[in-house]
Amino acid sequence: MRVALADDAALFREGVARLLTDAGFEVVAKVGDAAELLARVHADPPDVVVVDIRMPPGFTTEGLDAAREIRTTYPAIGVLVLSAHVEPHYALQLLDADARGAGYLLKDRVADLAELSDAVRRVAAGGLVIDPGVVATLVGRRRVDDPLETLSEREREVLAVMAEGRSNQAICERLFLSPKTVEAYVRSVFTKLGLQQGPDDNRRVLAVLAYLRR
Amino acid sequence: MRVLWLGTGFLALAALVWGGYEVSVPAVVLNLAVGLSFIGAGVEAADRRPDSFSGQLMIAVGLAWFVRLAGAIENDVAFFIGIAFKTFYLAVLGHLLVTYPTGRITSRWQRVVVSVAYLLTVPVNVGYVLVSPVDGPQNIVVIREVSSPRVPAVAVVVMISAIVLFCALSARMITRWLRSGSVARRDLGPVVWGAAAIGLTVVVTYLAALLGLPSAVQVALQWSTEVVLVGWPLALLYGLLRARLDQSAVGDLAVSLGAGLPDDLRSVLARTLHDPSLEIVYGEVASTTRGVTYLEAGGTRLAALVHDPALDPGFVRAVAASAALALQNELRAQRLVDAADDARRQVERDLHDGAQQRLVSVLLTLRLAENSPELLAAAREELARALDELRELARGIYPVLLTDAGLGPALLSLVERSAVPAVLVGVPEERLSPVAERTCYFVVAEALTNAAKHSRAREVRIEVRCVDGLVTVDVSDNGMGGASGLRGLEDRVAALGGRLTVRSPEGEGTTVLAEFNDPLRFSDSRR
Repeated sequence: MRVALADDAALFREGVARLLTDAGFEVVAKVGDAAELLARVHADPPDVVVVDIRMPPGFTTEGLDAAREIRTTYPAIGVLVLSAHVEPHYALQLLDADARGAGYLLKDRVADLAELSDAVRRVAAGGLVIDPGVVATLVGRRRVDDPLETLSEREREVLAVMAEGRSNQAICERLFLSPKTVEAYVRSVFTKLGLQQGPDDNRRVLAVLAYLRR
Repeated sequence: MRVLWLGTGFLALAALVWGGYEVSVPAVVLNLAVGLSFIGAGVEAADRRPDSFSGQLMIAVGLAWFVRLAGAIENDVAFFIGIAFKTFYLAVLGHLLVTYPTGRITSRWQRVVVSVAYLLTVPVNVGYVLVSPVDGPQNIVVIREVSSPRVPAVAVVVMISAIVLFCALSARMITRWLRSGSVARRDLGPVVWGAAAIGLTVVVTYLAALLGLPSAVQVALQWSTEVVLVGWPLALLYGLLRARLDQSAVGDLAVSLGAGLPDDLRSVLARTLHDPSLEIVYGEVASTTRGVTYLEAGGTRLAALVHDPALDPGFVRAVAASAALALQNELRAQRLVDAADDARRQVERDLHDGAQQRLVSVLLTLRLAENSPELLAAAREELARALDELRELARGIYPVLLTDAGLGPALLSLVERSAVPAVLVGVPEERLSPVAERTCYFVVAEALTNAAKHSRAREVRIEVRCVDGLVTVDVSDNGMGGASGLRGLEDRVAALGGRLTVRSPEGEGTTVLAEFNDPLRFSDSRR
């Protein structure tokens, strides 16, 4: 699987490249800013782009803007945005109605090779990845007459893992539950919150995120 | 100086009362009044306006008037002095008029007019006495009806010259007055109209003498001259002192500006300077014939006053200094807030791109060099926690969303992390200026923190509105009220010329309301 990598911090960039290489990915481009990333993607489209949200020259959202542009121009390329900010706003900017192959991950997660390579594989396969920290912010938000209080502890766990973009299979593995039990929990969460089950995993993620954000 | 005033007055009184002639009470009073009013006003003017010689000239007019009263003493020498100095005061008066308000001769025409005036008085009078037969001393001071006013040829020449001089002088002063701007008119007013009145009475009196009008008419005219002479020095004194009264207005101005810049600084300064044409120019001043005085603070030009050139430069400088101080304070408060915000951004950037970046790299290095799995795992855990803390710290210092995405997303992020359930009711669709957005953000952040700490509120409602550039931030909770300690916010809002109101009656919740005008609204295409 071919990966293009963009981050202005050289040490971090090289480290991530090495980790990805160790994990069996082929790093085809290592660049320091958004303009060069776009040029390299145009020249030789990779399977996945891993991009830092904040890069020269403005150090604001150059990486996020580049990621959105790539998603529009090359829907087949998965984009994973690395960020230092636990801000749902940025994560949701990346996703639209029929979002696929996109992820928003905190930079810290790269230390866990399994988590990083899992996220890269998931966006490459068209899935959505939302950082657990961002989801925790959304789930942990204080609300008046909080509907999440009607959920059981287990149901809230399932909701959170769902919001991270995981499939039922992944939820089973994460929470050590059988597929049948997970399905039951998911159904129960949707019923209690009054949500419609989406036709696919991505729609489900979007519905949950939209609910948590409102 | 008081001795001069009282002493000469007493001598004059003595000459009139005990000089040997019969002098009526009104004549005594009027003669004393003319001399004393000139000397008194002159002493006062010299005292208050040491920069001007007009005070000394006024004293000289008064003394010349008193010297003339020597003619009231029945004695040959005194009579001679009285005759010689009979019209001397008019020359000094002309001198005063021509050079008012500085009292200094600065041009050639002034020198000519003043010299001619002096030549027409004492030398002519002395010559007249020496060449013409005089039948003994007589009272030449007290106005009385002379049965057959016979005007000698020399007197005709002198009178005509005097008439021409006074007419020319009056005409010149009136044209000078008409051509002046409002400021100069105001300064010249008393002297011009007083001088015109005196000139008119002198001219009319002399004309009456020349034309040989009935003596009753001439007597009346001479009395009126003396009456005008009493009042005029007071008008002159007022004119000289008004500049000083204006200076005291600078103190009032400083006090009122100290309370904060008024909405319309220009009209406040225009009122103090009595110059309706005053303009305040920020930046470069185009070349102009008008007066320009800079508002300077610490060697920096903040603005310029473009004003009537006739204004006293010292007075304008004093007003400009007061205004500059107030302006500087305002700018300084604004700069303080800006500097603090810039510092926050810098800290945020340093933490994310510096410390945090470094920590991540360490984490990575540890991951790549796995020799002692347990230790390394612990180290990683520790580092990860440090990263979490750093991230939250950075967020609290400056919200990155505020610059990247605007007020709405930044406030939503605050709401999502609030320890008290919070609802964002409304935010302006359009972007506000950066300083306005920062102010809104920190008002909400502080109010939320305050509510979480003290109010035990169940819900906080947040609404930001912007109507015609007026921004209102309303943060209301349903807690127990009694909130206090939002000083920092008050300063922040006051720096934008706005105000912060905290309504927090015991048991009825707290409403924090900030209102201010967005100083620089702009629209941002990023949204």
